[in-house]
Amino acid sequence: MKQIITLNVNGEVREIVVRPAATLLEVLRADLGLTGVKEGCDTGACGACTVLMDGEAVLSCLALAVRCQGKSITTIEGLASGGQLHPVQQAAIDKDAVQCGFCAPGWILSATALLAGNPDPAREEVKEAIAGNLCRCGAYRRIEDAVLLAGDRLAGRKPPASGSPE
Amino acid sequence: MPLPDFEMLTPRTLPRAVRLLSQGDGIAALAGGTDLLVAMKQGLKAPERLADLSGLAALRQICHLPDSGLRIGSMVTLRSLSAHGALRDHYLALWQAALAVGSPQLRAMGTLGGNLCQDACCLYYNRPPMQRLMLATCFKLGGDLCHVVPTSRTCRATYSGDTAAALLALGAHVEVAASGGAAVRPLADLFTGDGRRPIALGAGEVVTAVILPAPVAGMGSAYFKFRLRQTIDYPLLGVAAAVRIRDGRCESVRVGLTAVERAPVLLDVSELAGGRVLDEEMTDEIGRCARALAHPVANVSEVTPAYRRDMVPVLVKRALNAAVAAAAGGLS
Repeated sequence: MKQIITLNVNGEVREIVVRPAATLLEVLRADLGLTGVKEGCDTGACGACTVLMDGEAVLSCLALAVRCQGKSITTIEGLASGGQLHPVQQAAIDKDAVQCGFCAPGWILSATALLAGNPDPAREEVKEAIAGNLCRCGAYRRIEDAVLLAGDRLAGRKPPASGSPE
Repeated sequence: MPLPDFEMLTPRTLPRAVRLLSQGDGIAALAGGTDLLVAMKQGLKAPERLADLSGLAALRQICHLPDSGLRIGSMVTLRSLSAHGALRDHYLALWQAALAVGSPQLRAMGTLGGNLCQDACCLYYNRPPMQRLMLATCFKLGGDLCHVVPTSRTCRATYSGDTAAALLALGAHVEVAASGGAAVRPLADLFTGDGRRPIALGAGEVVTAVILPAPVAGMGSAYFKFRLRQTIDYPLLGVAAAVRIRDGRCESVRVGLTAVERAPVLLDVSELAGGRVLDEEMTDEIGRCARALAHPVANVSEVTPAYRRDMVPVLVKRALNAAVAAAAGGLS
């Protein structure tokens, strides 16, 4: 039986009619057109479909939409504000942390959740935070650099004056 | 892969949930969904109705018991669990095992009860539907053969829960609600040892909590997980050790193993090691005992069963030494 759920998606309240078997991933992509949420493995093992639910990184492919009633969802489309990219997005560009880009929405959201609670993470903490986001291009080192740079900028610190670590 | 259609039931009380789940085969309990929904997407399960346990607030509580033990509701997420102060201080093996499950996202969604009650897995059973169709039906799918161990007369699907190994070593119990009321059982009784149906819950039975014994002085524990990637993957082998040391000598030594059998394995060597120092000779001996209980099968493609079996004494020694260090360090 279909039911109506209310979600706050990227700051906007949306009412959607969903089937019990609809995943949050399907609803975000098909019903709301938010195709920045990626369908990768669709079985919880790659992290491409990561979104923030009440600030926490979760897998939208394994979240049933009917169980998300009243939740606040942030997708990659909702990170930028006032025409400004989110610091993690900007750092991804500045550190050239994206190759094919398919994993980027996922890890950027995982990193955003990390930095919201811990603006000064160690590299190990960054690795742990993005451990659920597979990057088939293997851009991990640059992704870590980008997250660390975003942390520096968010905390108003001057990043260490060093070039690429390679 | 769309999920097959089902009806969603949202019980608000435990008795209501138990009543719904008593209604037989077509209904399944839904916790975090990270195991069941994957199986449904893979076409392995198709319950007509799901009873969502997330509306039962009491199942999301962690509380200290009058005897100073810890009661962890089955719907507590692995993430919330690992953030609880008592875990790192007193039940290190469980803290490490909870953090070793899946990925940050899976731990934010998956629950302790769901992790314990996960289905056994296997290279053949869990392969994509199209590939599965090309093979004869195995025991786990209702057939009469095992592709992994062709000589086996039973299903050899492997139980791979991380937290089960830690909880067995720590001497945990589970509280199970049923229509006749709640009962507390030793954790080992939750597992059937049958790969087809590894969890010993009947219709209407729901795991509501895990109960840990009170921490005592000289207690220490640790969990070690072997896998190729240090994230997301199931264990190829998981080893937990829990020791109680007094004046340098063992009072109790328990080892929990996972991913080596159809159920998690508990090895209680308190009698063997009691009153003795946990030196290299003793850890070697315990490693040999544990190895004899481990029967990994070729149910993963990454490494051979022989290699996994040889890793058992290696990780048992590491876990025992780490447990002793934790006991000595006050981190117990």
